[in-house]
Amino acid sequence: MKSSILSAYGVLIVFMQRTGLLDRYVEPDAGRLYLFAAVFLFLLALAAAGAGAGAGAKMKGSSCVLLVLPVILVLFFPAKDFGSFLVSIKGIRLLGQAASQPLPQEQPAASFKQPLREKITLDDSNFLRYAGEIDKQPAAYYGRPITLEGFVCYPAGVERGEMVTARIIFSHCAADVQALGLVVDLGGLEPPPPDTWVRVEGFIAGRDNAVVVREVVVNAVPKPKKSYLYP
Amino acid sequence: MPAKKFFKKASILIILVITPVITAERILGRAYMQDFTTLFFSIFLEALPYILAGTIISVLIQIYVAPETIKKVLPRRLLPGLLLGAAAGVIFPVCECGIIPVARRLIQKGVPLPVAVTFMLAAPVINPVALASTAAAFNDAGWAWARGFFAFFVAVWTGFLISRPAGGNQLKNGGGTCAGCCDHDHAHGGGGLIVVLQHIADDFLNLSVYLILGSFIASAAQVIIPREHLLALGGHPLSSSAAMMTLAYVLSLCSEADAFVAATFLDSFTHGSILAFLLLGPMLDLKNSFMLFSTFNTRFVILLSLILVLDIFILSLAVNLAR
Repeated sequence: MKSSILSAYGVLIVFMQRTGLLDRYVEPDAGRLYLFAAVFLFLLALAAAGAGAGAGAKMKGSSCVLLVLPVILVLFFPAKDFGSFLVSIKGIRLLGQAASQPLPQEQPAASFKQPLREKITLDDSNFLRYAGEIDKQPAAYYGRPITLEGFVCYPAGVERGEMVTARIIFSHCAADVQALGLVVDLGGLEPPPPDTWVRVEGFIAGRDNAVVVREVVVNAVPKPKKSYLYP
Repeated sequence: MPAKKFFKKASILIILVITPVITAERILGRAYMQDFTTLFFSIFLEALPYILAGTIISVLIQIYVAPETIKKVLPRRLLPGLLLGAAAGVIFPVCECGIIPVARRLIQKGVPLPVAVTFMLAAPVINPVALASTAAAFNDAGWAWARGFFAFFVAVWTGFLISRPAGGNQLKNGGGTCAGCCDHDHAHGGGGLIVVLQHIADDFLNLSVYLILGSFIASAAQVIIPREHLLALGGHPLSSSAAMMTLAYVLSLCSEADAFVAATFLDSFTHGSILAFLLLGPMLDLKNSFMLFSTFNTRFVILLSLILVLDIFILSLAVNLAR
């Protein structure tokens, strides 16, 4: 039984590594480490099989149940990319949440746009960098045109007629993932369903407690193969 | 085991596991179970290589390190021993799960309990990998230095505090020689490769049971406990430390990644509470609590946990007051 359980772990890790499923649980750079671990598990399985029935302590039934549980759960519920459900349980960090200032009341909304300024196009390579800069000095970005892609979610605190375009940051393993997003003022557009991947083009503005993208054009886009951001 | 008996046991086992899984899906829904399983398996998988590494080192110590060698290397007096134990943590870049079997084996080989505990507490935090990731997460080496310094201090102080009330080796069942895998000692220097691998397999499976239990409960706690209730306590020096320490305990993140999570709370939580998160998580969390209870006597684990929580809480308050 010990040998079977060890082999099952080894087979599962190798299968996940070869199919890319491992990236949904642990950081992609750790693939080789897990391959070594799988090889070692196979060695242990061989040694345990060679021990025979007499040697070594027998494993309790409850221990066997617990050891098999991860394998069964993963086979029944293979990982899907985190999205709005994760946001609902773990919350989300909205850009500019700590430092935003409201637009001056007397300024009509249309005049805040500065279309001649350089457009910010957020992608996987610069999303986290721009997020940090916008958080530090949001007012410096007001009026700039911006394009970003992400999944749609509607966390608590977002007003009627708004949505959040979010990305998932994957630091080390799925347990420490965090959601980071930008509030989008839909301006009367039909709210897309949660977890829809969209491209949002608009202009950065501010409201009481977050940076917000206004005057937007929203288009559905295919979900990318690798949807997480890795710092 | 004859093939027929094996298949019969395997079938019963699979049915015993599959039935509650299917029931859970019916009650909670597929989306919920998928996200829960991803969290659970991720916590377990992330720790798995370190458990393997820890059991390998543990068995090698068991077979190849003599108690006389330990006695020669260790200082006789307590404080130098504690300082050496904490400093030794620098060379073991493993998380808090992998270090437990190593600490157990060191105690069995004659390392005094306080020294082994100091090593066990310090190693997951003050190793270069954890400190480098802390510096990267905060974009500030000062946080890494602070984490390392205070972890060293907490580990040594805790080791000193438990040296009086906790006599003996405090290992469950006296420690035995192996993790319940056999009832005889190994001749020093003996044991072929197959025997070594068999012992590693036994140790690994025994520890994995508790890792799985801890990961399961940590994942359940993460999806059940609303995060915003904890986050609402961020501003106050007392409640922020309590909230961040609770979060660290429940999240059960490894010390190489928890700094990235902690850094996101910099704007809304006090510095002392963030430091408490960085110190407590690698030393004591839901996941490794089960492993601690399986390795050490229950009373000792409770005493150790109380001392750690109080030490770190007081330290975080002091940092909040000083800023």
